Amino acid sequence: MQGAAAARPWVEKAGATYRGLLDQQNQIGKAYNLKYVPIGIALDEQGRLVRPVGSVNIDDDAFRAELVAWATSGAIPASWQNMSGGGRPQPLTLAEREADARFQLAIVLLERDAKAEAIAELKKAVRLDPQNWLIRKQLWALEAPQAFYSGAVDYDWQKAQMEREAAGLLAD
Amino acid sequence: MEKFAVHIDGRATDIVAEQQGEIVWLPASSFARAVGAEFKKMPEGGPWAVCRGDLCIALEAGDLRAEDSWLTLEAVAEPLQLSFLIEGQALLVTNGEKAERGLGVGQVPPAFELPDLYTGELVSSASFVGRKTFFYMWASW
Repeated sequence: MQGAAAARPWVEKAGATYRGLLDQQNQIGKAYNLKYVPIGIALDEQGRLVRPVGSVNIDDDAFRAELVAWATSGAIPASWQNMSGGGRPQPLTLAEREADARFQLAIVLLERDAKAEAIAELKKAVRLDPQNWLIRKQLWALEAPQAFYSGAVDYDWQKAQMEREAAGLLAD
Repeated sequence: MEKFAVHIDGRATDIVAEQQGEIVWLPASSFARAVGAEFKKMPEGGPWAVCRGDLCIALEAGDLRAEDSWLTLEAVAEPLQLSFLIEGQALLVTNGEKAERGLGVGQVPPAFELPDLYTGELVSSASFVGRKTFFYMWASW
């Protein structure tokens, strides 16, 4: 949502040798029914999935070993084949569509430097689609950048924020 | 004229394609067979056609090179749901009909097109077909 300028420093810090693409409007999230990151999409030469689209932990040595093994041998790790998940993505519900519309509006407001208005729209979006962590964490990162962008991500803040939201933002 | 080795669904074939300007020519009979179709003459003096199941694509004059029965890829690609990409000296063809759509193992997920983080150039997920690809979705938060 925050655009290329927000994403580039992370790519540079990681010394990435691969190509980076920007999904500012959450196109993949909508098309794939995804409500969180990080997500991995692993495709063979024919464009077919070798692992259900879903959560990955790129810092996990076991996962990285599986990824390297598949990339070098082409054999799909048994643990990937046995993972649940799949089927066709479902169309968005009316509430999810409204949440997305407000998310898109928030992007425009942010680009116009109307941060307070953008946050107000994101709050409405979170109420409509409370399980959508792509929207909720985006809201948090705008509301409390200090909890995300000054050193390590502050998970204690996130936990406390969940409690505040249960009592306030999502209570009415 | 440029020649390309034809790969279908990631497998090399002995079919060779020829490119003349914008037009890609393929040997009609062997290419049709390789994508589960048949190159044949329609009954009662009808035109040459490529048929798969109930679907027959009648070939018009410009679609078929009469002297050696080669056809243009363009004539059959869309009706047969073939996607294709030229990479180096290879023509990579994906036979879409067989692929089931979805998010599980063996399925083909929705295609997407997103800008490069640095150049803004639009990049299609389909442009990675022919290679193993891993997309990692992350956010700065």
